[in-house]
Amino acid sequence: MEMVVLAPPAPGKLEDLRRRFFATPLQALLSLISFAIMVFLVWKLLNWAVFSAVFTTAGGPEACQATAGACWSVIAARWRIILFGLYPFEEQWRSALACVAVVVMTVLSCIPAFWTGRRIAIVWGAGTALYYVLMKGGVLGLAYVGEEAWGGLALTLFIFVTTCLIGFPLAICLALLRRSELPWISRTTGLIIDGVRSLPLISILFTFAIVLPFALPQWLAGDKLYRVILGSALFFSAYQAEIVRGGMQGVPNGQEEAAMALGMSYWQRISRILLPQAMRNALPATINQFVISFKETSLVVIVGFFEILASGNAAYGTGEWRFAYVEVYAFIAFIYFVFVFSLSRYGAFLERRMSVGER
Amino acid sequence: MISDNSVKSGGPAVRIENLDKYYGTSHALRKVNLSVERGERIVVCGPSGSGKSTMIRCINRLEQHNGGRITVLGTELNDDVGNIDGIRREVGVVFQHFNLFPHMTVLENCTIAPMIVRKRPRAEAEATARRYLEKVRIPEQAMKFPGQLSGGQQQRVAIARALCMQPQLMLFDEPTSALDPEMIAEVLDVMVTLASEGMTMICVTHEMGFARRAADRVIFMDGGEIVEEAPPEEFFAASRNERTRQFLSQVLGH
Ligand SMILES: Nc1ncnc2c1ncn2[C@@H]1O[C@H](COP(=O)(O)OP(=O)(O)OP(=O)(O)O)[C@@H](O)[C@H]1O
Ligand SMILES: [Mg+2]
Repeated sequence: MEMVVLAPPAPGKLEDLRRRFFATPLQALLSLISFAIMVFLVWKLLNWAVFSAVFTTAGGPEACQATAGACWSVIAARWRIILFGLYPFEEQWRSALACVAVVVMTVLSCIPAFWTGRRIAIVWGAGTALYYVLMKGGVLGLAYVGEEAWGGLALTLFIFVTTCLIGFPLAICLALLRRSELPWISRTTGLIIDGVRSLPLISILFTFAIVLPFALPQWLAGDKLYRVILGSALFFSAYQAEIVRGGMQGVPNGQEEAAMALGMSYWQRISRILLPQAMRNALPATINQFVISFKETSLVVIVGFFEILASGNAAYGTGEWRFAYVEVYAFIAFIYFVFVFSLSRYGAFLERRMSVGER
Repeated sequence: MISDNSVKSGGPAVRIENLDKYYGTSHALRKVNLSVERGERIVVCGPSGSGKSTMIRCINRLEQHNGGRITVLGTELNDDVGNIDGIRREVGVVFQHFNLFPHMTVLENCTIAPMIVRKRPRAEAEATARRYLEKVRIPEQAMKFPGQLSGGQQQRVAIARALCMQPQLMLFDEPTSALDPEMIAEVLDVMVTLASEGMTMICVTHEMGFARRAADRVIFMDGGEIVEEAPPEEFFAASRNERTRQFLSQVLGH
C-alpha cells in the first residue's frame, strides 16, 4: 500500500511552539512546570549574582556579610593575587604585560597568515623572550624577580603555552619515529610513548621537580619551573603523538606513493603531504588534548607553584575574606571558561577551514 | 622539452634484465626481461595477480626488486638514493586511484612538485600547469579541489600533474579501471594524444581499443612472467599462446 504524504504547511512561530511543548495536556503540564523551575532558578541566580550582590570594596567584608548576594568585592580586593600570585606588588604591571604578550603570541600563531616557518618562529621567539624578560627582569632596569615568585594567571598561561610549544613538535617527532621502518626505532619509541602514558601526570611532575635534581649535575638541572614544564611537555607529547599517529593512519598509502613518484624527498613528503592531511584528521582530538592540558596545569601546585587555582585559594584563604570562596572560584571558572571556550571555537573554525574541498 | 636532469640520454628508456621480486615467500616477478625504446608505447595486460603493477612499480622504486637489473634512462636503479631521486623526477606515474592531494587545489597539485623538487619559480610552474590543464581539457577547474571533480576529471588532473614535471617516461597503472564507463573515453583520449606526441609510455590497461590505437607493442603477463610480446595487430589476430587467447576472449567480452 502506498501513501502520498503531503508536507504540512509551514507552521507559524506560535503554532510551532504549541506543537512542541503543548501537544497533549500532560506535555503542557510538564512544560509549564519546567518553565516555572527555570524562571525560578534564573531569578535566584540573577538575584545572587547581580541584584543583591556587593561590587565595591567600600564597605569591606562586613558589607558582604550583611547581604545574601554575591560578594564580588573579594575579586575587587584580591584580583591581583589571583592573576599574579606572589609577584611583587609594585612590579605586577610587568606580569600583566607578560600575560598580554603570551595571549598575543597565541592569537597570532592561530592566524593562518602566520603559518610559515619564519613568521611562526619570529612570533614564538619574540613572545617567549618578551615574557621571560618582563617576568624575570634583571636587565633593562627591571628589578630581578625569581621564578619562585611567579604565579597566578601569568604562570598558568606560561606553563600551558610552553608545554604546547615544546610538546607539539616533540609529539610529531615521536609519531614519525613510531612509524619508522627500522623496528628498533619504532619499538623504542612505542615503549617510551606507552611508558609515559602509563604514568600519572603527578608522578611525572614530582620526578622532574624533585627527583631529577639529585640525578643530574647542578648545571644541567636548571630551575624547577623549567623542569616541570619539560615534564608536562613530555606527558603532553606522549598523548599527542598517538593522536597524530591516528591521523597519519587515516591518510591513504597512495598519497605518499604519489609524492614519491613525483620525486619529493622524505621531509617534503612529510611536511607537504602527510602531516597536513594527518593534522586535519587529528584536529578534533588535538583540540581536546589542548583543553585537557590547559586544565591540567593546575596540578603544578603540588610541586609548589602558585598557578591561578592556588593563588585563588590564597586570595580568600587569609582572614577577612574567608567566607567568599564561591565568588573566587566562580571568577576563576570564568577565566578558565574564556580560554577553553575560545580554544574550542578556534578548533571549530579550523575544522571548517580545513574541510574546504571535501565532499 | 628541456630538462635539467642528471639522467643520461641515449640508450633505451627502460631495460629490465632478469628481474625477480618476492613479497615474503610469494614470487611476484620471475626473471622478467623487457626493453623499452625511447618514444615507444607499451601496453601491458594480463590476469589479476600476474605482476603487472609490481613490474611498473619496480621501475621507479615504489617497490624494491630482489634480483636482476633495472636501468631507467641510462641510470641503474640500486640503493643509491641520488639515482632513485633522479629517476623519479624523470618518470611520471598515473595511478588507478588518482592519488591527488585532497588538501590542495588542482593548480597546487600540479605546481607543488615542480616548485619544491625542480625548484621552479611559482609563476613559471603555474604557467606550465595551466598549459597542461588546457591539454587535458580542464583549464577551468584549476581552482577547485580534487574532491569537487568527477573521477574522469580527477584522472586527467593526475595526468597533468605528472606531465608538469616534464618527465621523459610515463607509467600508467590501470588508469581507467576505477572510472565509470562514460568517463573512460575522456581519459583514453588524453592518453592517445600523449602517445601521438611521442611520449614514452608503459601502460597497464585492459582497454584493448587503446592498445590497438596507440601501442607499438603489447605485452602479456601471467604468473609473474612475460608470456608473450607482439605488435598489437599480431597480438590480437594471431596469438600463439593458449593463456593469451583465453585472457583475450575474457577482456574482449566474447
Ligand atoms: N604489497 C604486497 N604484499 C604482498 N603481496 C603482494 C603485494 N602486492 C602484490 N602482491 C602479490 O604479488 C602478485 C602480483 O601482484 P600485482 O599487484 O603486481 O598484480 P597485477 O597484475 O597488478 O594485478 P591486478 O590486475 O589485480 O592489479 C600477486 O600475487 C599479489 O598478491
Ligand atoms: Mg595492478
